[in-house]
Amino acid sequence: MVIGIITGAVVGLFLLYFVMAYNGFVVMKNNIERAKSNIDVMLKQRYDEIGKLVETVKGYKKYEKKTLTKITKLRKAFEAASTTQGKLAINSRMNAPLGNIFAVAENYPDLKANENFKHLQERISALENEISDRREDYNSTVFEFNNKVQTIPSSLIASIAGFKERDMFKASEEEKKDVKISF
Amino acid sequence: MLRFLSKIGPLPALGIQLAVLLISFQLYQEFYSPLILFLGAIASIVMLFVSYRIKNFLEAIPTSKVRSVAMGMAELKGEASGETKLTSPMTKTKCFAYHYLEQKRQRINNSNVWVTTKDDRKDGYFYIKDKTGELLCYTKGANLDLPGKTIHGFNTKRIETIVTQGTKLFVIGHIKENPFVKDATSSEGYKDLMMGDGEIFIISNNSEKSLRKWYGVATVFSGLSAFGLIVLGFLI
Repeated sequence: MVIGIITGAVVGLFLLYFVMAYNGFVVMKNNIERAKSNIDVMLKQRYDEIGKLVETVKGYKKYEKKTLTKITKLRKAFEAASTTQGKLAINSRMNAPLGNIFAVAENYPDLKANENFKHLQERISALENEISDRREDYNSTVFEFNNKVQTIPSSLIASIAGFKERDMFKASEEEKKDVKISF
Repeated sequence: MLRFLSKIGPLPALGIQLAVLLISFQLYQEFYSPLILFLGAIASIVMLFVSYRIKNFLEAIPTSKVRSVAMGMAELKGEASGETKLTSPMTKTKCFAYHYLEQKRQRINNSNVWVTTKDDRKDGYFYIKDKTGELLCYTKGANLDLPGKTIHGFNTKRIETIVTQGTKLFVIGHIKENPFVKDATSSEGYKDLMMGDGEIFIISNNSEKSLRKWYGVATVFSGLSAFGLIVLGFLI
């Protein structure tokens, strides 16, 4: 009798734990999707601003055509990319030609003084920082999710309910190159 | 009641759970009915859900930087700043918001109980400032999980909790549109946003790690209490 009651209570509490842990996984999964969408929104905004930048710079005939062509190609590749990881990789490849545009602008005093150009330059740099922050947020959410998927007792619920580990966004080779400092 | 519980601090959650246990045992001694223990178990299960839900939100939501905060539930870490428009009633401190309580000790059912005789709360706006910017925050509906100052009198006590300039804060709440901004700016998006009341809204000076630990303790305590009360209810 006593054993039956205790077993019943244990089973009841386990079912309760199952429900709570399952809901916990669902909340985390939705947060991962939200974090990913937040990155996509920022990437889209950055690419819209880059488009405006190209239009502003085009007027300066001597401006490096090579750089502009490269940016246009990357923008097309961005539009064709279907995954956030792919878009992030293209975004990091975009930093070198963009840096070139901003550096060359030093040779054109009227372009440098152009309010629209200044605004776009600030906005594009700000958006890059925001993308980087949101990528950190995404990775942090995935880290917590993966910890839950791998550790006991929540790993039991994850395997029953079919929740699997997620991949984090890793820095691309271009980004790793960007942080190299030469003396 | 559920709205209040959804924003409860970790120590009050433990306190409520302890009260549920004590009241269940006390009422059982009076009425000798296992039904009381089962009701206590149900209350414990509610507390279990509440604590676990908050703990889970803390785990699921990453701590954002102000400049990249997005609409919806968010966590921020920073310092309270802005113009202090209020003066707290007890310590006369300039603050952004306060919660003041006056309590009196009374004897109810052979137990000494603190009964609240005055509850005064004033909410206000302040900025949560980190290295990347500052975000407006409105304290209405928040659980102020901050150390309160208590002054004891003869069978009375006065407790004051305040949000002051420069307090290091951890905040979890809902990011919505800033009602003071009519035309959204495009360069610093966070200035168009504000943190306010949501499913969970906690303004704390504890770290996220500490909050998670204590909500975890409250969850386990509620779970064990529910288990114990159910088993006792069947055995008696």
